[in-house]
Amino acid sequence: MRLNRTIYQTLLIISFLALNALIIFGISAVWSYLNSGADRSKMLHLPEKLTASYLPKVQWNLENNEGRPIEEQTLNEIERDYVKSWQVKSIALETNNRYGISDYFTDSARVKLYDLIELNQSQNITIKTTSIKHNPKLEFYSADGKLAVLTDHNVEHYQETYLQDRLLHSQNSTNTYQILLLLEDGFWRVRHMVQMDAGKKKNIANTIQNLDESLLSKVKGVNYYPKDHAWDMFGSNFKDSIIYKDFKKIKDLGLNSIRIFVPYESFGKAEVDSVKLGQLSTTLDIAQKFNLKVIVTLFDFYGDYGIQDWTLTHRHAEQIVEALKNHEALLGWDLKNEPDLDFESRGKSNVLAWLRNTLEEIKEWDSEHPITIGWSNAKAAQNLSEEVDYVSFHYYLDPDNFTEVYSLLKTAVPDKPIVLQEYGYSSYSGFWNAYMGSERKQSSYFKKIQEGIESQGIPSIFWTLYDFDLVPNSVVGRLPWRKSKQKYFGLLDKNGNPKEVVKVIVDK
Amino acid sequence: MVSNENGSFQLLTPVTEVVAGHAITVKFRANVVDDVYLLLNNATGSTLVPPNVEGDTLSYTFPSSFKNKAGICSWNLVYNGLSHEEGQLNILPNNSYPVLETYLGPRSISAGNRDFSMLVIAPTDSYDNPLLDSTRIDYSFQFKEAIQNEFVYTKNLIGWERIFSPKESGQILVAASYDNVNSKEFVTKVYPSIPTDFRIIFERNHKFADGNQQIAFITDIIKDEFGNVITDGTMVTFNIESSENMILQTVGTTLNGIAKGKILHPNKEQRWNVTAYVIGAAQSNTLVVDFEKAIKSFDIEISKDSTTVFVKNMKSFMQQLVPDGIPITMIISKPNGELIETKTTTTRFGKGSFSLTKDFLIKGSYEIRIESAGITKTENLEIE
Repeated sequence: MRLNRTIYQTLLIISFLALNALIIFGISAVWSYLNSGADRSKMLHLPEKLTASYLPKVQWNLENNEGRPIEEQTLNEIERDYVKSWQVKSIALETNNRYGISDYFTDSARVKLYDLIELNQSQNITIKTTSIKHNPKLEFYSADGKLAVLTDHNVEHYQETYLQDRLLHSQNSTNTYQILLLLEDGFWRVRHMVQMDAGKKKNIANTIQNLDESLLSKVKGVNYYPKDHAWDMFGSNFKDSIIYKDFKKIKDLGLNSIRIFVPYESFGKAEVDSVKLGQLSTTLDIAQKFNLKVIVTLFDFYGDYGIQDWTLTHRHAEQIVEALKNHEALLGWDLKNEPDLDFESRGKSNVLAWLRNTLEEIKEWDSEHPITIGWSNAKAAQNLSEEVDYVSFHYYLDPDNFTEVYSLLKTAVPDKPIVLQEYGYSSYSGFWNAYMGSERKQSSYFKKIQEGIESQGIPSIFWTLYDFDLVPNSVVGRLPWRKSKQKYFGLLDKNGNPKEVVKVIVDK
Repeated sequence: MVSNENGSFQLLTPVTEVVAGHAITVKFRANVVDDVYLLLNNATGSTLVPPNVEGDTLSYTFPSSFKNKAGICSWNLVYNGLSHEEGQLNILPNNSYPVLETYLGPRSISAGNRDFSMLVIAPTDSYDNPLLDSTRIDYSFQFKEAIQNEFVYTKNLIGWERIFSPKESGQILVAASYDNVNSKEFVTKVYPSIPTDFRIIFERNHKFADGNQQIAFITDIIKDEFGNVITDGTMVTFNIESSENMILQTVGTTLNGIAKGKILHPNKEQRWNVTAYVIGAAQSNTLVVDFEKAIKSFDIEISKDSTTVFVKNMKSFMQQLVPDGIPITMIISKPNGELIETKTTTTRFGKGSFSLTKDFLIKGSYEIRIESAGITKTENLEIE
């Protein structure tokens, strides 16, 4: 009886306490709900800042305008609406939808587009197209400011034609158009558009003729991220003092080059963040102090490749290339790190088309520095080998096969310099690899690869200076066995102390 | 003959120039017939044309979006992801049934051979294609008696000309024509140019400063440099500087070149210097206007209990009662000149009064000064 009573008492007290806890939890949940979501900045329904979504290069020629001299403001408005007319047209041809056409084409001009859209829709034809460059010349601007005539010389296009979602044809073309624009309800609308000249294929920019191969052939370097901010070195994390110390270490290790990465999105996409660009330039300044050469890898973490996105990526690259192309420390450009990993998810032809066109654009802005693509393996490195100035590949596989893999690539691409832009080995030893890794294994891996490099005279850049504490999910995903491995590729450990492998590098 | 491992094609119709609207068919002899498309590109966009197969001949008929659109139309014969043959057609505008699109602007200009309207003509064919450059467009314009016939050649899709204003105001009618197609009539209005300096006079009932009558200032007929009467509704500002250095203003708008501005007479003797302006453009002579005293005198009377001050006997130039609303000011000060208070009122039925409250004025002697219509009178006041 007594025991029973004690049990009942205990149960009662516990349930009382539990009930109280529940009530308090309930009240607090209601309380926190009522206090959330009331963001004062949302009260005013301020409009979101619009970011441009189509930015082909536009270069005006205002000489010999026969009508009234144009005002800068009007010219900007004409450019905005004219470029938009190209954008709505490309979207309409891609989706076979009339959306937006009526804003940028006059009544009689839009009828022609509607007819074409209807025709393509009935046959399930879609056209993906973008213009890359416009060179409009203002021919005439009327005295009342309501009519303008342009000749848009050598408009560069890229176009893919699909029939029932099957890619039939893709091509670059350069055409000249004459356009009559009318100012209607505040929009400059296309009234006439006549093609004057066509078919001239854009000259594919030649690879650099007098490429200084001696500089490239001496490359012995490291893929660099600071210890505490791997894959995230710019912005508020950027400290020039750390970069300075690290570059000094790199120099002391007897290396002469570094490869760094410019993340596309966090650098501001088409509107490059000037602070981060400044930090990138500072990084090159510091490298110059230690006489280190820098390979700048663009478009890190970029993965769209969509045709409508091209002009934005071009403006991104243009700003970086223009800012750094005269820097003494710059060795060359790496267009994109391991783009072959996107072949499956984004379509090989899309990725290659983007690479080819973007590469051509960069060559136009900087004809001095060599450009490459950082393919993830030697086989992929045969892609676009005609277009790049030097071929680069990454190697993380069995060191015994290295020489063979390299020779295969060399045979496939006999007349281009080849750079091994990444190789390395993780010294991770832990649960996920059954405590099988060690610094000694890393060291012997490096030794074997080094032998291959030495014997073949291959310029090389290893991965990486430090072991990292943090590896963002965006790099190798969330899986712990991948992340853990990724943390131990360094020559120096997390505290900056040299690992065994350093001897292999320094001795050589 | 282009050939490769997959297919060989031979162009059978080496046409390079056609007129818009005419049927266009491009034919090839080929060793493959399946999945060979003709990709067409013009300024409007692109499409794919499936072939019409007859034996080993593929024929492609251009859809209307392409055969009707003048300009360059390029084509690629696409097979197996590659372009095997390519070429381009120059499609010329079709000259039958042209349409004239005419724009004239600005539609109002000022006289004098400096300002102009711009006539822009965009001739198109019946498929809405701009006609070729160097197409001759005739145009005429009429002003009063004169009709002029001119012509212009198109260049860059349009033909255009400046139509300068004559020295006279009026309207110019403009029309264009091409190949028996005529535009409608366009009108541009020629407004007079900016006004030149002018003269003003005044009109008033009498010369007295009674604060009651209105004086009117009137311009002569204001004209531009070419003798055109300026546009009705032009605003003229009459600027008055009084002998007390006050600035007064009145405005009038012109009708048939004449503007009239009115303002009340002052209520005391004054001299006015009046100048009229069309602001930013022209001005008049300066007119001197004198006003004589209308009110010669008035009397002050203080009530026995010293609570009210009356201003009486205010008479105008014909001994009539002054109009209501003439301001009267009373200044109360101590004999040593220390100011106590200033009070104002206005006349009504030729009189005005001020009340003094006992709470306010403590015992003692004061000086009261009354000012009205430029006359000042003083009186002593004893409060017991």
